Amino acid sequence: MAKTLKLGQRLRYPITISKIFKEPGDAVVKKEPILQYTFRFERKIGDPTLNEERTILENGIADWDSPTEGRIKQWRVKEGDVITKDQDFVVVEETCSHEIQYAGLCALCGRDMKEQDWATESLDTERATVSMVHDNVALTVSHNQAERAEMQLQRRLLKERKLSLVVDLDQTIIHACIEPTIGEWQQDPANPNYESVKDVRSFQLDDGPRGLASGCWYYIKMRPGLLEFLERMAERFELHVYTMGTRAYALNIAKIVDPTQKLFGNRVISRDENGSMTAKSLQRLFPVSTNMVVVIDDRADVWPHNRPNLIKVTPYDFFKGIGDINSSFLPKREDIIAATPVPDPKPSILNGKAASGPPEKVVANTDEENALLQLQTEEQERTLEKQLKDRPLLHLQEELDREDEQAEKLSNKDGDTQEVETNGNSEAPSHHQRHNILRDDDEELIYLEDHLTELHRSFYEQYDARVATRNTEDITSSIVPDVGLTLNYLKSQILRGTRIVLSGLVPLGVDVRKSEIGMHAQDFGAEIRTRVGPDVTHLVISSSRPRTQKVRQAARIPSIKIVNQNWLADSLAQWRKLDATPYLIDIHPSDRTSQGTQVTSNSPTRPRITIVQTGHRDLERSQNEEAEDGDADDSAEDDENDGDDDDDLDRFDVMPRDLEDGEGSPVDGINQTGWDDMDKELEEFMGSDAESDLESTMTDQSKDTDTDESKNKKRKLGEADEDGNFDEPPGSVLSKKQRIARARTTALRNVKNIGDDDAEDSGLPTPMGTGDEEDVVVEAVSDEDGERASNGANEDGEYDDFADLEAELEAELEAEGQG
Amino acid sequence: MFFLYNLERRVTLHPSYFGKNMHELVTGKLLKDVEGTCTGSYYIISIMDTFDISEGRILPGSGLAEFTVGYRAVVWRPFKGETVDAVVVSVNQHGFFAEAGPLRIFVSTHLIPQDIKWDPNATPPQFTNNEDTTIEVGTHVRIKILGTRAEVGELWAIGSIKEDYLGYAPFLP
Repeated sequence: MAKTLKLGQRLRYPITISKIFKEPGDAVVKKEPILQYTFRFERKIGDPTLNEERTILENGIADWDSPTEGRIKQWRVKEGDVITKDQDFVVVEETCSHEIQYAGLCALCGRDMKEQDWATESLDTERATVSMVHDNVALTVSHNQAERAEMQLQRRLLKERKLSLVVDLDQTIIHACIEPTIGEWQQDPANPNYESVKDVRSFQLDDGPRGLASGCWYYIKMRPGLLEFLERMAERFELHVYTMGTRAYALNIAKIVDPTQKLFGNRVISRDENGSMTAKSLQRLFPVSTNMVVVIDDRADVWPHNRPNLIKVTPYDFFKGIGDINSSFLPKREDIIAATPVPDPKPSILNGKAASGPPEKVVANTDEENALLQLQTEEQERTLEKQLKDRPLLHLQEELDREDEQAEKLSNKDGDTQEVETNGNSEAPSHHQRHNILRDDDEELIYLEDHLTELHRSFYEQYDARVATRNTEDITSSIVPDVGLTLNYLKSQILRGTRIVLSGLVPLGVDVRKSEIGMHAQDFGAEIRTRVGPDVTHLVISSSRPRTQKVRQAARIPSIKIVNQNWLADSLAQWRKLDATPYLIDIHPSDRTSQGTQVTSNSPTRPRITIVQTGHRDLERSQNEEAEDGDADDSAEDDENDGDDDDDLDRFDVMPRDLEDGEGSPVDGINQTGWDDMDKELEEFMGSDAESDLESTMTDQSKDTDTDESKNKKRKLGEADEDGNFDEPPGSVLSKKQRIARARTTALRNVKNIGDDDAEDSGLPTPMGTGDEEDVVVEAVSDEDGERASNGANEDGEYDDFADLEAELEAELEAEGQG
Repeated sequence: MFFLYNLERRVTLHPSYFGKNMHELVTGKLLKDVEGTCTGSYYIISIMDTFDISEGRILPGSGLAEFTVGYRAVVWRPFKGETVDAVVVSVNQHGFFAEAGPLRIFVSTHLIPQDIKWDPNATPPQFTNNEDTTIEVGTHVRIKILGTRAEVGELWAIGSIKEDYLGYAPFLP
C-alpha cells in the first residue's frame, strides 16, 4: 500500500535538502531518519540586560524521521533542492495499511494504533474510522475497506436478486410490553382477552441494574401474519434488525421471531451499537452506498438522513396505551393519526407521558454524553416501572367492564338484553359478557408485503434494463439503481394530483409541510395546501374536531371532499388513493348551510371575525416568520399566493386560520408588546377610513364580538386612543394619522377590507343575501364585496361561475390598485 | 502464559467485622475483590493462598482497619506470539471474534488462510473452505496472538490462524 508523505507545516521553510539517507527500495522503520535538510533561522544572542542583544542568522541542520514503516518507493525531491512550502516528497510502500482495527489494534499486523511519538504526523486510528459491523463498535475499517466490503455485498445480493431490508422491531413487526396483567390474562381462559393474548410470547430479561424493572417479564405480540411475511420477504431481501432496544432485548426478540436464525442470522443491531440514542442511520451498516437498502419502521423521524429509503408502516399498537417501550429516549412522536374509528384519548395521553419531552441532541462531549445516557436510561426505567405499577391495560379493561355492566343494566331495564350487546368483538355470549380491550385485527403486513414485492420487482426491472444496455458482466456501482429513488417514484404516484388541506391534525404554529403528516403525505405525491381553495381536492380533518373554520370554508365548495384522518392514514398505509366516500365526514348542518342564510338570520354559530382576531393572527404569523409586524402580512401573503390564485377566498385573511386549533386561546400567546403594536396598527387604520360609513358598525362589531379576554386586555391598553378615534370628529391628530395611513401601502389597507367584510356580513342587512341579485352586486360593490357575493354563489351551487367571477374580480382589483 | 505470582494488596475491613475470624474475612474480601480481574497487563485467574496478613491498622477518620495481605495467585498474561485455544463468539465479513477465557481476540480475514472464505448465506454465517474447516459461532479454534493492547481493566488482542497447526481445532475438549 503506497503512501505519499508530506514534509509538514512545522518546518522552517525555505529548507534545503542536504542529504537523502534511503535509496528507493530500502526498508525504513518508524522514527528512522530518511532525510536531512538545512534551514536558516534567526536567533537572538547577547545579554539583554546589558543591551547587547542582537539577532543573527544561523544555519540549522535537521533530520526528517519516518512516521511509517515500509519501503521507499520513490523520491519526489533530490539533494540540493530548495523547498519553500509544504509538499509531497516521498512515496513509501507501507508494510501494513492498518485498514482494519480492533480497539486500537491493527487487525492485520497487531500493532498498537494509539501509540504516539515525535514522528507521528497523524493518528493511525484515523485510518480506520468506519464502523460497519452489526454487533461491535470497537471494530473499525477504513473507507476503502468499507467500500470493498459493500461492493462485495452488492454483487452477492444482485446475484441472488435480493435487496437489503432493515427492519425495526418495536411497533413495526412486534409490540412489546412488560405489563404483568398480560401474564395473568394468559393464565385465565375466561378472560375476554384470552383469545388475543394466548399466543403472546414472553421472556425474562435482566439487562443490567434497572431497579424495579430488572428481570421482569417482557410480553411480545407478533404482528398478525409476521412469520409468513418474513419468510416470504427473506426470498427477496436480506433482513437486518435495527432497534432502539438493548442488545439483549433485540437478541431475545430475534430468537422469538426467528428461532432458527434463518431470517436475520446475526444481522442484529441495537442501540448499544448504534452510537446515537435518538437517531438511526443506514450509514452505520452501509457506510458507502444505500442504493440497495430499504427500511421499514413505524417512525420516520428517527431516520433523519435516510427518508428516501424508508417505508413508514402504521405503528402496531396491540397493547393499547403502552406505546413503544424502547422509545423513551426519542422525541414524542408527532405523526399519530388515530387509526381507530373512535379515537380513544387514553392511549395518546399515556404515550405522551411515556415519551420524553423535547428532542435531545447527542452531544459530542463524552462526559455530557454519558450523563445524558444516564438520564435517558433512568427515564426509561421510570417508564417501565410506571407500567409495572400502574398496569394501564388492567385499568382500561376494568373500565370497559364497567361500561359493559352499565350497558347490561340499562338493557336489562329495557328488557332487551341481546340487541344492545351485539358487538362483533365480544364472543361467547355467556351469562356475563365482557368486551376485550385487546384486538388482533391488524392488516398492515399484507399491504407491506405488496409494497415490498412491488419495490423489489421495479428495482430489478431497472437493473435488468441497465445491464442489458451496458452489455457487461462486470458489476460496478454505477450500474446499480438507487432503490430510494425507485421507492420515491412509486410513492409519489399514489396521491398524485390530490391537493390536501389538513385541519386539526397539526398543532398550531407548526408548518404543515414540515410536519410529520405533511411530509409523509408529500412523499406520496400529495400537494399540501395551507388554505382551502377551489382546486383543493380533499380536506382532511380530525374526527374529534369536525367543526373547524376550514370545514366551513370547504363545505361551500362542493368539489372538496371533507374526510377524516383515516382516509389519509389508510391511503398511505395501503398505497392506494382510496375512495373518499366511506370516510366522508358529516358536516354540521349549520356549517353546511349557505352564507346567505347565515347573513340574514345572523346565526350565532357564525365565526366571529373581528379585527382584533385578525390582528392576532397576523401577529402570530409575523412571529412565526420572524418578519416585522407591518410587512408580515404582505410577505406571508406573497409566500402563500405565489403562482396560484386559489387563495382568493381568503385573500385578505378574512378567515382566522384554524382558530379552533388554538383552543380558543390565541389571545394568551400574545404579550404586552404585541398588543401595543396591534393597537398602533388599529389606531392608524381607524384613522385611515374615518370617513367610511362602515366604521361605526365595525367598531360595534369589534366591541360585540371580542372574546372576553381580548376585550379586557385591549381595553386596558388602548381605550383612550380607540374611543378618541371613534367618537370624536377627526381632528388634526387624526388627519395626520390618516395621511400616514394613506401613504402606507401595506397590509393595513387590507385590514380595512377585512373590516368591511366582517361588518357587512354580521352587522348590516346586506343586499347580497340572495343569489338572484348576485350579478348586480358584483358590478356594484367593491371587489371585496364581490368576493363575498361569490361565496354566496358557491353555496347556492353555482360553483361553475366561480372561475369567471374570479377573473373578473381580479381585473377589478388591479384596476383599483392602479387607480 | 500462566504464572504463579506473589502479589500484595491492601484490604480494608469495616469495624463491624472486627473479631476473631478477621483473617478469614480479609481473605474472603481479597478473593472477592481480586479474582477474575484484569490489572492491565495480566488477568488474575485464581488466588492460591495468602501467606502474610499484616496487623490491622485503623485508618484515621473512617475507622476501617487496613491489612496488607501478601498472596500467591495464578495469573495469565497473554503474550505476543503465544498460541491459545479459544471459542468463536461472533462472525462477520471482516473476520471473527473468539474468546480465550477472559480475553477477546479478533482474527481478521487477512489472517485467515485464503481458502477459508466468508459465507454469509450459510445458517449461521460462517467461514468455510467447504471441506473440513467451518468456523462459526461456537467453533473451537487455535489462535496465535499477534498483538495486545491494554487499558486499565481491559485487554484486547489480535490473532491469526494463518499458520500451520492453527485454526479449526475439532478435537479440543
